[in-house]
Amino acid sequence: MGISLLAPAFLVALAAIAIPILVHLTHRHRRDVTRFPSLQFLERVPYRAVRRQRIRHWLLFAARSLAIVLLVVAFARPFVDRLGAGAAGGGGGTEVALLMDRSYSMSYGDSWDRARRAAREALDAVGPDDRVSLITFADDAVIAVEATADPAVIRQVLDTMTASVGRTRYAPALQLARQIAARSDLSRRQAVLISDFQDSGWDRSADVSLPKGVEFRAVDVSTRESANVLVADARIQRSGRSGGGREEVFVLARVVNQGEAPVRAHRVALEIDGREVERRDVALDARGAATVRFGPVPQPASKARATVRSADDALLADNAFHFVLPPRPTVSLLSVEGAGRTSRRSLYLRQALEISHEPAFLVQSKHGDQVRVQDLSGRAMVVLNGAPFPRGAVGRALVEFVRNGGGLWIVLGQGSALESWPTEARPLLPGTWSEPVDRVPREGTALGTIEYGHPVFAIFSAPESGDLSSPRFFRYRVIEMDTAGVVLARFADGSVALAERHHGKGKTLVLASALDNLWNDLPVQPVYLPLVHQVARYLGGRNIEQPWYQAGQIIDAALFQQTQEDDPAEGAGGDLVVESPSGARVSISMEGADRFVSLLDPGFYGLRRGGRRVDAHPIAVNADRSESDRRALDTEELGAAVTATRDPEAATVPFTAPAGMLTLAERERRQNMWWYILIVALVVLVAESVASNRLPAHSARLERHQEAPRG
Amino acid sequence: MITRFLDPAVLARIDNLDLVARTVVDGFVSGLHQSPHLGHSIDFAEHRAYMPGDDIRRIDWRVYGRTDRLYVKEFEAETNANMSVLIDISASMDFTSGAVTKLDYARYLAACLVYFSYHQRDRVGLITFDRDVVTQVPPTGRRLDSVLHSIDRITPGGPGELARPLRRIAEGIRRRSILVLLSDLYEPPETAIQAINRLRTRGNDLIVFHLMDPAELEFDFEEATQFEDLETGERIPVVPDRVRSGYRGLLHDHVAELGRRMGENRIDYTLLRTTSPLDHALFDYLSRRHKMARVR
Repeated sequence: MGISLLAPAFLVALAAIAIPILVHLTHRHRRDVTRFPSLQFLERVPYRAVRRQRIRHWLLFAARSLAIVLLVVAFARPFVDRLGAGAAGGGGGTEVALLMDRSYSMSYGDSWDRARRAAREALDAVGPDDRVSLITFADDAVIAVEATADPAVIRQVLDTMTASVGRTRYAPALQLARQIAARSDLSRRQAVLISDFQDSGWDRSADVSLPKGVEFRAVDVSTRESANVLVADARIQRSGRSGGGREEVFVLARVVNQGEAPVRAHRVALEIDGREVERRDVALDARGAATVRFGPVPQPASKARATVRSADDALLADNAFHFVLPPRPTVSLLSVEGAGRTSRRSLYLRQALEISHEPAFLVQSKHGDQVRVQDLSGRAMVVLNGAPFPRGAVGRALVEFVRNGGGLWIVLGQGSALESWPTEARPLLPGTWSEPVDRVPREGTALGTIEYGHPVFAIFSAPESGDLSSPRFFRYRVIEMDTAGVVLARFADGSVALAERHHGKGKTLVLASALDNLWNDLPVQPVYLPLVHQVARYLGGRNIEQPWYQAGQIIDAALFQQTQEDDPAEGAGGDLVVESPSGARVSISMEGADRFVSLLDPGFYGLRRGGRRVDAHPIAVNADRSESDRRALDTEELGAAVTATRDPEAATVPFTAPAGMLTLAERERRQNMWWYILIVALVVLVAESVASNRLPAHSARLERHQEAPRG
Repeated sequence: MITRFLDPAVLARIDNLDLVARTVVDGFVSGLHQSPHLGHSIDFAEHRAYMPGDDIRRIDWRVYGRTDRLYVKEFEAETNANMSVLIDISASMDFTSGAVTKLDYARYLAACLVYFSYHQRDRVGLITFDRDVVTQVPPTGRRLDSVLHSIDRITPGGPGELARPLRRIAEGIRRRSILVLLSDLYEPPETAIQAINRLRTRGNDLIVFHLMDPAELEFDFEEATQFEDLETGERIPVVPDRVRSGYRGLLHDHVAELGRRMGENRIDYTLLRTTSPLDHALFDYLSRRHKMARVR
């Protein structure tokens, strides 16, 4: 029987006892130095050198040396070897990276519990010489527990951990595992990936290979069951006005059954501001989808928090779809038509502007002679669609409308004679124009030069984002520019196609050709819709607000600040705090880095100012629906990619600890001597700290006493 | 609530700079609800006669001088703008009180900006300097990997200076560019502004990220020790408790003065702590890039 050491190599660390000696010796000759980028701001103050206290040194030196010896012995893991076995060692331990999928699909049924069980089983097999790291991942990967020889730490973390609302991404986690394996000094390395292995989580272009020699084990905790009904999307359809004159909306929700069995009478409900307003039962085929139409419901007076909620099933995170129900369309347009049938002339314009999940534009068309001054009230933009300039009071009101910030789009059609524009309206125009001309009657001409930096064309600047050269223009008016106007686009022959002029707070765009499909084929080209939308956004002066965001997105807090602009009463003082759906609160500011808010939880984010809720602009957040797609990944294919750089013989192997090593280890573990030695070392260190804190004061008193004037 | 993979201290665990950039930028871009493509990138194609309404900035004055007639430059769309990152690698940048030195932070940020801009189809380049220009990778639209490799190989240099290297950089720029300067700006504001203003030749757009470690800003040292200047090696004894308020005041004045003068000179200026998530800096860059796209 004798004392053996499980990790005798640690005794090498006894050399560290030289450290206090070196510190002691070198400290005599130089002071501690703090390296700092620049001293230019530091005031030069005299440094009061404290006389060295030699008595303290010897006492503290002994304590520190003893602590080092005890720590080294503790780490060498001593134990009484009653069987006379030799010292342990030889072979080293295993570096284990435990990769735990926390994406929200793991909350399906009992997948999460199975995953934690699998993790604990993997930890049970960990030997005393092994180290384990815990990597958790969903959208991001995080080393939740750095490499430790104590599996209890990881068990503790696993006990409190829950699935997140993020989607699966394997690559970042495997990259971190690669880093851990690459820097490990242990002889064996393993990566254990515990997941439900969704195909959607694997980006096949990402490099997920592990270093040569790393064993990879995939633990699949998915359930065979696939039943899941989710609310994939919800959008608003405006229905016009009810009999009482109040605007009404329909809510269209897309409900998807991902299960292999049909679903009969699945309950789906619409909630507005937390109250259920309508409930429907929907039948869904196996792997089928249906659109559920709620409403009409009255248009709320202010932004409302709306949720389409499906009956609970095995996966809860995708059962609710949140969105903000805005009070009214954001841009109201008046299209003034020239001679001819109004409906036909404005057909394409109206169709283009009203095609939207949530109509951002409310278009009203009128003949030029039917327009009244009050028709301009509340408008963000007016389109003179082949119409002459309105006469009399309406014309004067239109000039005032632009000067005060309104947008005017002049579409030069058959009725757009320049003579109809009175002198007082000319400041609205970027130039003058002539009678229509047919430059190339058969083939037409195309757009040549385009200012892609202008907001109207910016979205077309990226490759394959819209071919603006495809529309053919057969007839247009030649615009002669004034110096105050700016050309935004030209035809291939150099003639101006689109020009702009600012007047007061507003702006005017002039299109040299018409918006029907007679003068050009623009309305039947794919770029027509986005182009018209961009023009309306630009001239309407508003950005379209997003009804919902995806979990994980980061937004600018300015989205919340609209409350100040809309309602000065809400702009009163007090700290701004964003409240998440889970109730967590984060202070924000409107400037600097604190103005960004990470949207992590599904539900509604609201704003509080001075402790009071100011919810005029809630932000709706939904979990990424791609995570609901539970199609399975072929783990062998993933394993092949992960081990792609390895030798063929280094195949994926089961995760087991070496038996011979466990015998010594188990004996050591039963005795736990290292633990008691560690406690003694800590007691010595505490004593050393107390002594080192007291001695300076004592020495200082001595010093003052010695320096005091005698007598 | 905002703990994300984009924390610089977390990124420091990843050796591969390309992966850092991809992780940050892809996460950042997926966090935006709109495409961040900024567009308006143009290449010279040919001349044509000036017509009223044309942007007078496009008139080719050299041709006018030779021919006495006004011609404007025609451009082709959908090519690249030039974007160069200028990294101060002077010894003072090799400081950290935590996990990431200012230089490491600058490397991560530069990698992210380069990666991001490259995918905007901009040409990206790199210049490092201390007292003089150390490395220079001219803007390229094809070799992202070589730029990232150059960033990866950056090591701290010697004592730093702004005037001389920035003058040389300004002389070498042949085409209007977006220049992003990453530095700790340890120069008197007057000198720094003079040096930086030289970069404005050819109508370059300037964005300055002033990188500071939290310990530099807070000066939360406890022990009275010798403080050694990383660049000069000069040492002075310092009792932090006694100098803290004075130091903070001087530094605050320095930063405020820099901000004010940069604003006066229409230079976009942002003070960044090395603990700030990188996507915040990307947001700053993106919003300013958007502004530039509108006014260019």
